[in-house]
Amino acid sequence: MRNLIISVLLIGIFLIVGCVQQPAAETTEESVEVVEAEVIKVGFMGPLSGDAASYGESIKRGVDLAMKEMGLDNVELVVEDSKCEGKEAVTAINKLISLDGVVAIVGEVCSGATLAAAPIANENNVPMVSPSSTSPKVSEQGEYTFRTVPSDALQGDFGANLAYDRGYRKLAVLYTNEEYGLGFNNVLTESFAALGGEVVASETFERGAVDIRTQLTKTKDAEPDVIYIISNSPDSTVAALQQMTELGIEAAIFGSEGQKSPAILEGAGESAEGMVVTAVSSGTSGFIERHQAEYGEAPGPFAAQGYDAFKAIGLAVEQGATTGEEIKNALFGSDFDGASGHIVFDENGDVSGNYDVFEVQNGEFVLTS
Amino acid sequence: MIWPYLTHLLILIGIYVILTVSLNLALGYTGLLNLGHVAFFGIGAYTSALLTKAGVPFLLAFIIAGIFASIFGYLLVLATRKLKGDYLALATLGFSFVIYSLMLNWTGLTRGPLGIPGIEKPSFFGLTISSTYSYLIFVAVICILSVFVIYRIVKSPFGRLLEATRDDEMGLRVLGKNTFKLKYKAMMISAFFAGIAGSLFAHYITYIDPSYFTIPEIILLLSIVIVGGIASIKGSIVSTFVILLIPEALRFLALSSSILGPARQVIYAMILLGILLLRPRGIFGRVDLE
Amino acid sequence: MSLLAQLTVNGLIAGAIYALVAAGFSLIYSTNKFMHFAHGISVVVGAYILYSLFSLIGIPFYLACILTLIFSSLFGLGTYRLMYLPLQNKKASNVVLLIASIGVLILFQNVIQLIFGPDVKSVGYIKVARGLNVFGAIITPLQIVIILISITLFVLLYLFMKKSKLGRDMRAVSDNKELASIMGINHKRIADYSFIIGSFLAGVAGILIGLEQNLNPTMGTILIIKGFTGAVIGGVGFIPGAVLGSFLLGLAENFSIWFLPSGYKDAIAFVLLFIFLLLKPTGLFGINKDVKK
Repeated sequence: MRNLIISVLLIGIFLIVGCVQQPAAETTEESVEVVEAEVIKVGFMGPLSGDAASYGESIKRGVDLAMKEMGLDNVELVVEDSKCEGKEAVTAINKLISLDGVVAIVGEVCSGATLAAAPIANENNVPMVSPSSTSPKVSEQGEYTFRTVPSDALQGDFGANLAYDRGYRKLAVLYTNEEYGLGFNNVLTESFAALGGEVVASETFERGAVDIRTQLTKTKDAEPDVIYIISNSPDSTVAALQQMTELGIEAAIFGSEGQKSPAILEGAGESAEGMVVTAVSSGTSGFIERHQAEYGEAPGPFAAQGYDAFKAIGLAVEQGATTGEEIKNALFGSDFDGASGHIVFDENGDVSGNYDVFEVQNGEFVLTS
Repeated sequence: MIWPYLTHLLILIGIYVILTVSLNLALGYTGLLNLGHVAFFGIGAYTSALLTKAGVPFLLAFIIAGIFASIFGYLLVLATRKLKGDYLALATLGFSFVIYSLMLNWTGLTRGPLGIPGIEKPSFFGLTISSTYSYLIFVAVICILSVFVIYRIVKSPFGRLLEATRDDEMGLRVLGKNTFKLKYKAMMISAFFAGIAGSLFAHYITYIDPSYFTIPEIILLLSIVIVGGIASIKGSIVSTFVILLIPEALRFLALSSSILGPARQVIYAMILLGILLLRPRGIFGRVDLE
Repeated sequence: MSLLAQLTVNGLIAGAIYALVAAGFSLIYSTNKFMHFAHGISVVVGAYILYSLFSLIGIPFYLACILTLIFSSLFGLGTYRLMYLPLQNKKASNVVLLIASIGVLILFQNVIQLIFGPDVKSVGYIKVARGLNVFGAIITPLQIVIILISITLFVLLYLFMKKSKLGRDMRAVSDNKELASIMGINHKRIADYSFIIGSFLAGVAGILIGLEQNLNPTMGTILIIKGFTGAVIGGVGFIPGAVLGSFLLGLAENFSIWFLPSGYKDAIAFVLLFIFLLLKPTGLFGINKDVKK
């Protein structure tokens, strides 16, 4: 009996490996071909399993699309799963740099993992371009850390101004209890208070939590006229939106950029109606169309930033950069129109903050300004 | 250029060997079903990181990290002295969750989810361990010392008393031994090593936040000890290599990138289950708990 | 809206959901004496089966539910027969079974992600709407159903364990396996039944939680942690106690957050668990002899 099960497990393993051998074999052939053309390896690291996997997938699509469109036949992409965990990210970046010999990396996705991996990128002179780590602290991580997404220091301020300008004076914040949520919340509440508004409630939840009723009940009791949701878990956002509807909360709802995801429209349905999302660009109309054509779906969160992160590296390679240091230098000179807007890195490797404001109307995100 | 990657893995393995061998001292040799080991690891990491940030020299912070974890070990045994078996496991699990929530929510001290970035690399006697190679040597020295000390402990008369506590606590009491004293000593030693492992980890990774010290980590530590075998130091060491290197080996499996994340996890789980089925007592296990 | 009423209702909703998970977990624990953490994934498998049958294939809802319950029961029996039983036959200790159950959880969590992807899925049987106003608190009809089913489960399980032949046999095995086999009770058969019934309950939980919350592959871990905590508070080997403990947990979480920052919400459960174990190691309604094993 036991032997049977072990054999079943073994067969299972072989099946999985066998099933996926096909595409893998192609890549190996490709890489053999391009070895002669001096192949340049670029790494991608992000969560591909675990509870942040949907972000990793969405970004990787952007990266894959950029790679396909640029058609750089001397560039190979090496993908690593980091599960959005610091320790995993450190292992992944070590593997990418020392074993695969990548000269640049698209990633990490989560701020905490980026902060853990950044020192290794710096030590090894390998530039890291994050498509989605918005923590203000990423700016201070040395000259090899770049990002194609603006810092939350900017978005928090933008969101506070937007809510205030629309006439709201009593703000409640509902944020995810991690690096991203807390950092964003700090900027948002400070800016809103500085404008003369009042922050009446500030509640947190764990990433992935789906019972947010208590926090919402307390929030409702504080009688805000606007609620700002800062979340990087579609599950939690969907739950929060549905529970707001159930509890009859009528305040206006604002959401941070992670909320601009098809998963949320699909999951929350009518509860998402009227939500205002301050989002980093989800892509120019051309990008959205191409993404739609390639995958049959609108781009997910940070897909455009993923596209630009790869494109920035790809352009540097096209200009002849082959080492990490050369790519880094070329990145500081980047100046191109990407999928998410015009990309120019400042001395911290940051891009300036351009935010779009979307509103959910009839089950779709509609650009309002 | 495989060396930096291997060095990194060996550093992690060294740290985990300290963690799992010390966990085996409490769990395997003494029979304390402790699921809270990760809390000592976290306490050590935070203590050392915060102290060096406050200007305390590394070596001192390193030792204090161990002592501080050790004190918590004592308190845990004191609080749970009436519990056994599954209930002790539950209480220690509860303890580790409480420590985790404190790390997460006591933002004044730990900065909560923001974590502590820029933890400096260790320096003592005028030398700074900045390269990964020298860090590996440092970890290896500490690791070998720790394993040696724990090895001597389990082979000593005290160690035999610990095993007797696990196998027949009542009998030992009848002989007039204070088993509570034995237990808290074992737990304090175990926690001390987890604490210094935490310090080694924090100064290596240089950025820590509470997410390192929660369920996945508990599962990892427990799996290593169980797969290696209860009350076997050799087992824990071998198993640390096996369990930490399986996911690394899977990185070299040519999987299509679209399914790479979950597929690796599936294979990892299958291998883990396969090992358990093949060797239900662990690779070098000689005794059973309960 | 009265805050007190709403918090009570929130606590009841949360508690009922925990109870759905805790009941099956506790039933399996009581006869088998090991922590079947993979129970969390049984719930998720149930929810995804309902999603596939109803939302993807389009089988009528009630038929889909019945099929879900059957599949869930078989899934539970399968984990027992294919994983736990072979391990037990090789005299693996309960800690090994615990690790194996976590392995099963990781395995199926990722199999689900491979099949369905990492995104949130919604069964979409019930439209989200503003709830009913009951004594100043707002609650949806589905939530009332969930609470009622949890309470019914409590009563049924209580009667089942006390009155039915199978229930009494289960208790006998739970109290003393050796004695029970002397009395002619086949404990392997009882273990089969406990996994079938326990996983049937996981199916019930999967359906209701799938309707109330949304689906994602990683939800099993959170569910089992909460269900498990509820079970421990109520006394892990005493099934009706597990249901009561879960309600207590739901209420405690909600009331404590009234005056504590909400970041402590999850911590409350564990502080409570810790305190309960220290003061009353057998749980609120537990039976004393389990501790001194």
